[in-house]
Amino acid sequence: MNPYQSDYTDYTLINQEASEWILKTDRGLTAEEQDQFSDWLARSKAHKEAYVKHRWGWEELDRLAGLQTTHDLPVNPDLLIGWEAPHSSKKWLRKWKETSLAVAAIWVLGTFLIYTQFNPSDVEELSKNTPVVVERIRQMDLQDGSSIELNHDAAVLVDYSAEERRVQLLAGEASFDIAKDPKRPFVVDVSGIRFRALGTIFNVRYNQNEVDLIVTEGRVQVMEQEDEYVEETQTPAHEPIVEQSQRAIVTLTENRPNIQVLEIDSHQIIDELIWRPELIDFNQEPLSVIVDEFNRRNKVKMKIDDEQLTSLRLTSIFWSDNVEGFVRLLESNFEVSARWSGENLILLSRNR
Amino acid sequence: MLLSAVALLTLLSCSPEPKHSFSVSEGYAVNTLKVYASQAQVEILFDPTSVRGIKTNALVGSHDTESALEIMTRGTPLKFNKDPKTGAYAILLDISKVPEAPTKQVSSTEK
Repeated sequence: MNPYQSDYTDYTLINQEASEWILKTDRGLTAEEQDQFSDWLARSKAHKEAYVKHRWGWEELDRLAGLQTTHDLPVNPDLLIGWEAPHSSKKWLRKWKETSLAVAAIWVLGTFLIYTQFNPSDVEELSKNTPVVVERIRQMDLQDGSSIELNHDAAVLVDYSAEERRVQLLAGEASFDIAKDPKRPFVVDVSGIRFRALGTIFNVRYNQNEVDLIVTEGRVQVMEQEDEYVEETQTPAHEPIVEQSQRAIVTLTENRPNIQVLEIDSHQIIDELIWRPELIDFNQEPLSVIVDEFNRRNKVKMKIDDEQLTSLRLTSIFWSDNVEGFVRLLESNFEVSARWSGENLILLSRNR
Repeated sequence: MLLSAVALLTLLSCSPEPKHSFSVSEGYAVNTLKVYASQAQVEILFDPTSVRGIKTNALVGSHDTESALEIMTRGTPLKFNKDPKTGAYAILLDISKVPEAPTKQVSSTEK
């Protein structure tokens, strides 16, 4: 029986369940738990959102600690043995207490981090000269040398085993740079569609009814969930191999998904992947040029709201997603004042 | 457990900054600061007019980003401020360190 039966509107319970899943996914899921987890995610959008938020909070905790995340641990099928057959009631009680305390601690810390980052009252505060805080793109370095860049709304679940390197994209958009390992295929699982990397760099964006794959290097095979791997020469027509400079748009339907493979040119690729952070280099450029470049690459935009600032020229090397650091340095060193106008716009003016 | 976790985080956040290997020649700040940034893998921001004509010291060896910048700017009229959260640096002209005659020149170019 699935122990996760929360009502879709009971957010306290949903948050608690999400916290428990974070704990379990971090130590590795058993096959049964994996099924329960997938069911739980599929049951409600609120479940997925809660998991994404709690995952973010937990990763933020890891980031603060300077620790590498541990969600790429292999599955340990024996992990729950102690639970199923406790040696004594005292031991069982102690374990129950310890685990409850751990879950409670994670829930409290996670809720605190999520509250400080996502509480809607923050938005209210933003328009009142609140210091600029802008979330950056996250990068996960995996144990095999592969890496994943996660766009702001993305959440993934990493599940490595001896046979397969599997990543479930639960929400949003992520870019994958895969280390070659012919013995262990790298598979990205998105709502029943599997993208099998053949040593490659690719981007996957998951919207509600559509998955968009862009391959920038190497090849990726698109497969349906239940299908077995086959030799490339025997690839069926409905499971195409997507080559470099191609994209596959997979429309998710109740029956067989519809897969469309299209050519994509280098300009389109740059436009589509503009969210990925890179160092941008400016030489004595007007502030307006620098601001335009940041704006092209970020959801949060800056606007020069003062004629006097247009003549300011700057030299800089900055990560394209570090809007926050850029604005703060302007404020503290270049007599610039920054204030929020709504949720995603920062107005820049000369200090008076 | 909660207190232990917080204590652990505090300890870990105080860990020393990693060192980088540098090889930056003496030269004009407008050029050398960017070489420094590239080797240190840090972000920098400066007004090119305020560093014009100022030379920085050579930098060789293994240093953390802040010590390296300290060596490069020692004895020059430059100072730097670090963004505590993202680690990015702003490099500025320290008016108090500018000798009297050059001060006037720099001021006139700034205005």
